[in-house]
Amino acid sequence: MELDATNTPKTVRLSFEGTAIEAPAGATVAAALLAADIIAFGTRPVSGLPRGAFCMMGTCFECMVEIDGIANRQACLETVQEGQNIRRMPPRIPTKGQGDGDD
Amino acid sequence: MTMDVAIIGAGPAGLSLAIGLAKSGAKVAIIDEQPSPGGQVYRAAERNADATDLLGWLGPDYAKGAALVAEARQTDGITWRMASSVWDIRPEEDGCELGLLTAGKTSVVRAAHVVLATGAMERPTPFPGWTLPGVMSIGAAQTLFKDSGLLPEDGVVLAGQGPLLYLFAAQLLAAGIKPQAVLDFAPKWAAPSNLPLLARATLGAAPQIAKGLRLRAEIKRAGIAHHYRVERIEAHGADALDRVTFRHKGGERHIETSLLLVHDGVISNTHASMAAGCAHDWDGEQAAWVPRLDDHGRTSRDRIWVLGDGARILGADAAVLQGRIMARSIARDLDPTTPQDAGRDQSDRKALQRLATLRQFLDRQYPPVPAFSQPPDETTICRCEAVLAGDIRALVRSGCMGPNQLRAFCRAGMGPCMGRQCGNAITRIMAKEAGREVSQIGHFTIRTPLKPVSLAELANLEDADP
Repeated sequence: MELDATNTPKTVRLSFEGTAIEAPAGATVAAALLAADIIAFGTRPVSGLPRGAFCMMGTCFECMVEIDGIANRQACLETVQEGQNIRRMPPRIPTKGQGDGDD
Repeated sequence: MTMDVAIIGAGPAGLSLAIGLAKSGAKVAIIDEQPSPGGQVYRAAERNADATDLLGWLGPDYAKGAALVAEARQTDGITWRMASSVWDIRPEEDGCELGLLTAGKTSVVRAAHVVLATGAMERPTPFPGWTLPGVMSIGAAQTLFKDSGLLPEDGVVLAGQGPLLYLFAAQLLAAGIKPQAVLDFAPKWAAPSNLPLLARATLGAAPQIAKGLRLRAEIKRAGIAHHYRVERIEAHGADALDRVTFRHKGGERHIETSLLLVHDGVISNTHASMAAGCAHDWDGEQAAWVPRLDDHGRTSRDRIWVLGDGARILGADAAVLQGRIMARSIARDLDPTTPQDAGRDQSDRKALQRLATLRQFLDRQYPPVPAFSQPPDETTICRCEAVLAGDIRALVRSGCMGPNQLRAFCRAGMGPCMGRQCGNAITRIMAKEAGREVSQIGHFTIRTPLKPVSLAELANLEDADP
């Protein structure tokens, strides 16, 4: 995906997994990652396969990332902030069939 | 904070209602998860009010949003609670208590009446490979366009059906992006049995029908491969999408692409109305659950109302009309001496009826894609917990009676989305496998918290009494 320059008044700098990326002020974290060609936001808890933003309106929770040390943030609902530190969440791999109803 | 009316959702429905109620003197709070009003349809309308290029590409229907948002902003008596999620709706004797989560802090809003204007969500589109990064919904891509000016690159593939498929293809073309193909599951023209309804819809909503035809003509004029009556699609790739295969006219075909956008119409977003304990019914025409409402929008729960697409899909223009009508109804509930405005009520309801006829035609022309309604066994249905269509069918065959029992057996609907994304699909798959009516299968029971809320956030609860 590419960002259209006509709609980018101010730039915000943030990092994803330690790599610096830039995004227009007002963009969502999910948009900032996609614009930086990051499409895998994390891994699936059960299969371990990569997942990425899907609905962009807070319904699917597929875009969850860790923002400034706080896990389970929906990247599509968060607005980019200067200096924000975004990370993939540590994988949660439950053992199927062994009563993992802890959430 | 104690209000006369708390409205959840600042889309066209919620904004129109807030304007009407505030003008009648009511104390209104409007709450939305987004940082700015407009809902999904008029997303970022305020910020884009002067973005001439973007407004040109998105078209006049989106441009209308800025005026509605501005009118609401200029109306006195509206309390704005943006960037706030509602995690609890608790009916009380004299009203309702809402739990809010704003920037890591929880608070409580009390209101004599609560209106759920939670709008629409896209119907789930499960097909093999749809969980790969690189597959997104068309609504998601359109949101990225409106909200962040983010555009797909040339070569994107659009698939599915319905008005948004045509609209988004035309918006991309206007912005200079050439989709590689449009994989349309719908037939090109209406079936003869649907023609009388098309005629009635055209009489009442000629501009909308003309718009649909114009959008399709633009796709054709741009030379985009537009395949009608596609039968199924699959997404392929190791860690991300690289290839789409599809069945068309009896043959298997494939396209190389890194971005596939899918859409199969929209359904009412009933998560909040279900959590509030309101009665719902299965709407066969829209293939979705809708809250049971009286003529004014009252649910089965005292002092809880639903309006706009969250009540039944009718679109943004209808939502504005419904907001005006409901503002008059609630104003009379708050103060029975408020004079009736039968004339305006009647003309608004007449305009609403024309849009309802248009919607009836669209519902019949674009019923849910069969390939997404009953996907093959290997398809992921619950994305959070990786439950496959085959898992659900096997559980039904072993005697599982409904979604709540299913949840206990295989965790479907127990992940962070709490069944928002998969609920509609699970109900339809279970009904088909069991050979029963969807209404007999039922839906997941939705409970508080509506959104994930941490113990630290709960411990931060502040009473927002002014």
